[in-house]
Amino acid sequence: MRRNIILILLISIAGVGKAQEISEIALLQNLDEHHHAASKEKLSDKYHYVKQNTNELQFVMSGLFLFYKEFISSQDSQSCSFTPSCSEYALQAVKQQGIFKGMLNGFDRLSRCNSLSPEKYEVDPETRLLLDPLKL
Amino acid sequence: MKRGYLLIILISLSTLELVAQSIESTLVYANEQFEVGNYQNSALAFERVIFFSEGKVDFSVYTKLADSYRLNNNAERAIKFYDIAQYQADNDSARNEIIFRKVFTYLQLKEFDQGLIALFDLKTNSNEQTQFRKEYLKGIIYYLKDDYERSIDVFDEYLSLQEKEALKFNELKNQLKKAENIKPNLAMWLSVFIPGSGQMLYGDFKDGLNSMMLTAAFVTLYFNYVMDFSLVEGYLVVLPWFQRYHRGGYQNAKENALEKQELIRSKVYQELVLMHPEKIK
Amino acid sequence: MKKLSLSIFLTLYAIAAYSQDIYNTENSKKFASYLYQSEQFELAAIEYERLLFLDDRNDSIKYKLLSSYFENKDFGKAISRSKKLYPSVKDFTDPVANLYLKLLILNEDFSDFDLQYTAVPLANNKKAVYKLHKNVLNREWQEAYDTFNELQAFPFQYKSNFNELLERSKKPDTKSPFLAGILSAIIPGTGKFYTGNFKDGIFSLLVVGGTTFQAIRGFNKDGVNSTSGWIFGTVATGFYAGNIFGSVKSAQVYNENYWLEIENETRILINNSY
Repeated sequence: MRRNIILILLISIAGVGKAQEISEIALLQNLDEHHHAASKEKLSDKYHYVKQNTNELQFVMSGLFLFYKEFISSQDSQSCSFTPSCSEYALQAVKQQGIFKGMLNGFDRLSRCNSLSPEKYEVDPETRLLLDPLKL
Repeated sequence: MKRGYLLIILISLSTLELVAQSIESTLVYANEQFEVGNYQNSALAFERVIFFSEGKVDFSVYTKLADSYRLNNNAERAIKFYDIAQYQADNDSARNEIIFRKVFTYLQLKEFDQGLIALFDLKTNSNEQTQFRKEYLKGIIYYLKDDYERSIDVFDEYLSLQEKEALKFNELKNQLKKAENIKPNLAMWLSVFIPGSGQMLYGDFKDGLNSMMLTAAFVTLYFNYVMDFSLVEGYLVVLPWFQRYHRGGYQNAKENALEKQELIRSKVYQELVLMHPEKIK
Repeated sequence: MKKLSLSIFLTLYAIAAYSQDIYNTENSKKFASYLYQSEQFELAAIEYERLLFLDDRNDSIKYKLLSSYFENKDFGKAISRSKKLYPSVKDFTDPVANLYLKLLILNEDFSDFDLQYTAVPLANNKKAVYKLHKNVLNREWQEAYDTFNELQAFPFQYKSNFNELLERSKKPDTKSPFLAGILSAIIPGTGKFYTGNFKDGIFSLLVVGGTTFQAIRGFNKDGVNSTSGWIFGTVATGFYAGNIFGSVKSAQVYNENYWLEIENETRILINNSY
């Protein structure tokens, strides 16, 4: 009984109203990520740290890095098994640890880049590559 | 005697009014919060109304609760309450509206098949506008599912109701055909035999040239090695590198072609979305 | 007839009297607990906040509110809210005190934990279990052994697991970075064998060996001016030195992973017991 009365009361004030929201069209337009062609980002934007050079040596290294990425790496079928890739890792290492330690670190990374021991690394969910950021 | 009954009923109704008053005012508050866009507050208030009415409320309350959840990015719970609202709705047009919202919620979740299934619950027999909107969404969903052929069929039918857009749609069909005519595998095989040519086939000259020069460099190095050292040496030291970059080249040719195809399809999609019933009526 | 209408009136009136304001404490509690039960912790927290506004001395509501934040993984909020709800840590009720220590551990507020530990009003044995959790998680091994000894006679959840973790920390299976470096300097790759990275070690050995061989061949053929000799020589040196560096690093990584594994197991135990 009580329920029915309440029901009557409620019917009298409620109605299917239009909600304040983004339009259907905008909503549908946003659903398209599936077809979105991977936008070709400029290399110097993607690897923003190439612009942050504190000396000439770093400047040269950054330039070599960009050249490698643009003309060599882009044509390579066998991409690096890590993220960040070996060239990014080496550049970061040289910048953060100096030319000597950085180069050693880069060479070590290259010899670890053999895809033989995926069980030793975590997988980056986004790129599906092995996670190995520069730490030590 | 009759007046006596009337009095009793009136008095009892007025006390009941008091009972329900707090639920009623909660509903008013919920609606108000909903209107101003505080969807978490409105969800909580609608939940309260439903809880204290022990579920015996008008379907529109369920609809608004579902709306609140949907707009507060809790799609799973939104669908749950749209289902209840749809079941309880007492007329076709309200039920259809609820179904449309549920479809949009499924689309937000990228559950295209579920959205399609939900569309079939619509009762369109009497209403041309609903029919129109249903066809439109069906076409869009097929497109999102990469089923372009079906999508075109649906849109053909949809637009036959509306001749104005037919011309524009023909242009879109041509675009889709153009996308269909891009052959990623052809580009790949061309680049297998002549490195770089597959990229150039679809207008990617910079990449094609890059690939051509790089592979040519490796071939030169190979012959250098063969002459300086031996055939085996060239085979062991240079060939693997040549292979690696040769393969990279033809893979790029295929990928670039695919990308081009996707770009066209993406543009067509944006145009299709604009053929929304509201826009073309 | 009159009797009938009177009875209708009375029934309706009774219903009216029975159902009161849905915002009153009693009804709101029911609603909040429904939200909590249906795992809508965010909304439950809002409702409990409102209930506290109506009755700011109710300890069970305070606990429910904090639990809602806790279940919603809003640890920082739960901690700051606990501090505001009570004038001091000493005034916590038993369940709130338990929850508070859990929160500090899960949120890794270890310095706050140390500062407030003594003031939290809980039985010493119960408190010590939390202290043990914190000691192990924060790698304070000596303290952890002491805490475990305090709890010798007191049974608690996962006691044997914690005992095992502590035993493992006493005899850590770690590697010497120095030895790894020396090994790789003598024979490339062996330092990596020592740290358990066999495949990396073999790969390094092959790369250093292959490039050195190429360099030697180049120099043998064309003398000191051999281009390929110099190129391969440089690369070989780079890989050789890089491998020594990498072996030292891999020993360090090995050791860190050893402790991380203990830490992760601790986390699982803690999460299961909270």
